[in-house]
Parts: sequence; structure tokens; C-alpha cells
Amino acid sequence: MTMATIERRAVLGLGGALAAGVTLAPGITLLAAPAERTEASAGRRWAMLIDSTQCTNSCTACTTACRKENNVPLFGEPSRDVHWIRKVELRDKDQRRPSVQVPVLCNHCENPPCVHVCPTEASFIRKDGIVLVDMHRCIGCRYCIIACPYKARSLVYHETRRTDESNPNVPIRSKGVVEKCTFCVHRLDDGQEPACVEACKKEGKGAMLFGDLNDPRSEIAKRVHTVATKTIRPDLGLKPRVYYQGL
Amino acid sequence: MEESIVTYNAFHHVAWGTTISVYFWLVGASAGSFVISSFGWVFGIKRYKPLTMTASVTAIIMLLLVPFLLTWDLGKPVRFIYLLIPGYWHSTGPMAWGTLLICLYPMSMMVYSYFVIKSNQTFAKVFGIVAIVLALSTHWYTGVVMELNPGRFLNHTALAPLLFLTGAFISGIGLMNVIVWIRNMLLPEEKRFDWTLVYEMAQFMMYGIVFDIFLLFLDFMQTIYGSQNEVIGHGVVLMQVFRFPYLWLEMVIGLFIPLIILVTPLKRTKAGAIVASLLVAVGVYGMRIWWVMGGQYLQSFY
Repeated sequence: MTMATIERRAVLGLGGALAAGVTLAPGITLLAAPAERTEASAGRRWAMLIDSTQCTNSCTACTTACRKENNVPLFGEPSRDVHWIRKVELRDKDQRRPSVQVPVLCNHCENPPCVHVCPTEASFIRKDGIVLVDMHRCIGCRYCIIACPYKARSLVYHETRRTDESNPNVPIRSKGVVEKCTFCVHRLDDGQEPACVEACKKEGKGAMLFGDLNDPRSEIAKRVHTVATKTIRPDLGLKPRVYYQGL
Repeated sequence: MEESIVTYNAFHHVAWGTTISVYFWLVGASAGSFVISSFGWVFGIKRYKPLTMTASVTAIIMLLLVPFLLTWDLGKPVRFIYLLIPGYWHSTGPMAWGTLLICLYPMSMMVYSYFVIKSNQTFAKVFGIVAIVLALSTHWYTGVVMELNPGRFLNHTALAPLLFLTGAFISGIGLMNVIVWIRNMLLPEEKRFDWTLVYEMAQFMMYGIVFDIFLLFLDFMQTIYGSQNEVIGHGVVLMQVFRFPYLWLEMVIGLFIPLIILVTPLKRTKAGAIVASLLVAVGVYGMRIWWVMGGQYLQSFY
């Protein structure tokens, strides 16, 4: 074996190691990413209680505030408009009870099917129970939309642009990703309540209550334990974190 | 809530539409065609050996269309590459596994075809078995993708993968018979396939049709004795909104008319066998339509 052969081998080996390093390094970084993002407000269990008896037909404060706060786009096509929160009216078939208003949003399930089925781990759940979508990982396959029984997710069908009215604290989502309610996570991390809850309070309705279920002194923890509440489709075992009173 | 009338201010687009229905049909027809391809080299039924390459090439072409369809259907088509990068791969996501299957299945068919061309019986059999397992898994997976949605009551049944596989088997045979017919029309007498193979495959298809009808009957029974949602799902979604793909295209055109042809002496005529095959291949697409979109239909409101 000559020196020249050894040197050639060494160079080839070094080149191979470099190539492998360059190839694998991004993967290693990406593998580490989910662990970093699960630390936010750990120990809390955010939840919402909606008193449908206090919610009125004519009021759209929550949906309007949500759209404004989160730059939720309207495309003017009813079946393709994005909704983070929407209102459903339930009327008793026999008209023995007054109709009730049910604002429906992502239920931030403890056992979220959208997270389980996501092929790229774009949908994930934080330690505090908030289910989010990483827009940089979402490929727009829409399996999460199929899996969600609450129809809480929407695909962004068209390109959207930032305007003077857009909220600078919330990024504009690009065409082709799936988005949904975040419980206004950017506000929560700043110690504020979700925009819909704040708007509801401003209207003087008090139909929406938000808080930490893990804190026994919180209003929501007391109400959920003392008042008769329901969740939507409890039979699915998803443990939703949006509770309804008066349904 | 079930006793209430619902009014709403939001609508939803059907998240998976025609593209996904076509994808399911293509994967099924590919798997069915490949089963025919394997008869000669894997199962040792020598009279099917002449069909091997035609069936194999059909199966490969059908499956090679799939990645283009699926990528085109993504909201972010360029990000299809994420499905192949380990750092993005999510083991609990059925689609992540499906991506692996869609990559491995055509590769295994190509390797199998190579050894068939080289007349290497041993390796053709080994890779044929691998390819059959992958063919069945790839189509089984499409049923699983639809099945694992407890909120979609029309799709949430353990029968789903079996219904998909049976549909694959009969549509693959139907497609092969039609291809054999076209090929025999175009080629000179000495290069044509033996028509008895077509009659025999039509016979296999008949058994598949009977089994498919049995499975649909089981599904029907579960639905009409099921929850209120399931009853509405059948009565409104399948019998009204999706009446054409469900009742006419799948049941009447795709199953019952071919069955009538195949239990009568018509099955021994070229016209009978080919018409039955064509109807089955088309009819299975009806199942793919209502299965994909019907399950989402009720949830496209409020």
C-alpha cells in the first residue's frame, strides 16, 4: 500500500464524512425541534367554558374579534372561508325550549386525533394542552381536517396579504396550510385572555370563561366542577377542553 | 343536541375530493392487476405466465401516476419531500406509513418484473411475494386512512380495508380483461392471449363480486341498526346525495349487472365477459367516490 493510496483514501473518507454530516445535520436539528417547543406554560391546562344561555343570536363579537386578532382570512366563498370560531344555533324540534347559540371552535382535545394523524408532526400539543399547527411543517394534506370531529380546521385556499388592518403580532399564513384556533396563544403567553373571551366580556355577555383547569382557585375550575356542563361528542374519548353550559 | 334543528353561519369544503377518489381507484386497480401478474410466477399457475408482463406493466403505470396526483393535491406541493425526511416522519400518522408503501410497492414490482424478464424463477417468486404483500398493504392502507376517523361514521368501520381490498381485486381483474381485449384487437392472431384466460378471470371476478355484496350487506346492516348519525348517513347521504355513485354506479352498474352476466351463459361469450369486466372496473370508482366524499358530506355543514 502506497502513501498516495492512503492519502486518497483519507481524502475520500473525509469527504464522505463531510457529505454525511451535511446531509444528517438538518435532520438532527429537526428531530430536536419538537422537544423545545413543548415547554410553554407547562403545568397549566387551559380550557374554555361557554354558557350558551348567555350567548345571543344577534351578537358576533367573538367571531369578529377572532378574525381581527388572528388575521383570519375571508375569501368571499362560503365553503372555503376560514373559520377559527363559528356560531351554530340549535332549535328544539318541538319548540318547547328556546333556541341556544353554540360558538364552536377547536376543542384543544387532550387526546387530539389531528395530532395523531398528522404525517409530518406539524400538528402538535403543548404542555399546557393547546393544540397548534407548525405552519412551516404543514404540507396541506388535510388529513387533520378529516380527523377533526369538530370541523375546527380550515385550509387556506388562497394567498393572503398583510394589510394596514392586520394584527402585526400574528403572522399571515400562506396558501396551502391548515389553520385553526390557537386559544390566542400569543396573548396567553403575554398574560392576556383570548380575543373572543375579551370581546364577549366587553359586550357585557359573560358567556365565555377562560382559565386554567389545573388551578383549583380559578373561576373555570370551580364552574366546571359545580355547574352541569357538557362537551361535544364526549363519546369519542378525545377529552375536549371546551365546555358548554346550558346545552 | 340530537333532537334539535341546527342552523349555521359557516360551511366547509369537502377536504378530500375527486383527486383522492381517483387515487384510491388507481391503487386498487394496480393491486388487483399485480395479483394477476403474480399468478404465473408466484403461484405457479403456468397458463397465466403470458399475462405476467402486461399485468405487471399495467400495475406499475397505474401506481406511478399516484405520486403526481397526491403531490398535486397537497396544499403545499413542494413540501411532499417532508414525507421522505426522517426528521419530519411521524410514526402515528397513517399517511407517513402510506408514503413508505407507495415508494416501496412500485420498486418491488419493478424488481419482480426484471427477474421475470430474466426468467429467474427463484428471485421472481421471492420479489413477487414481497410485491404482493406490498400491493395488498398499499391498498389496505387506503382503507385504514378512511377508517381511522371515529367522527366520520360512514367511514369508521373495520370493514373498510376489506371492502377496499375486495374492490381492488375485482376492479384489477376487470381492468386486465379490458386491456387483454384491447390488446387482442390490436395484435395479430399469433400474439393474442388465450380467451379462456379472460373467461377464467371473469369467474374469479364473480366470486369477488359476491364477497363484495356480502360485505356491503354487513355494512348496510350495521348502518341501519346503528346510531342516529349512521341511519342519517345511510338514508340521506347515501340514498339521496350520493345516490348515483352508491346505488347506481357501485351497486347496479358495478355489481349486480355484472353478477347477472356472470351467472348466466353470457359469461362464456367475449362480449359478456368484457362488458361485465368494464362495468366492474367503472363501478368500483363509484365506491371510491361515496366512500371518500360521503363520509365528509354531513360535516360540510355548520
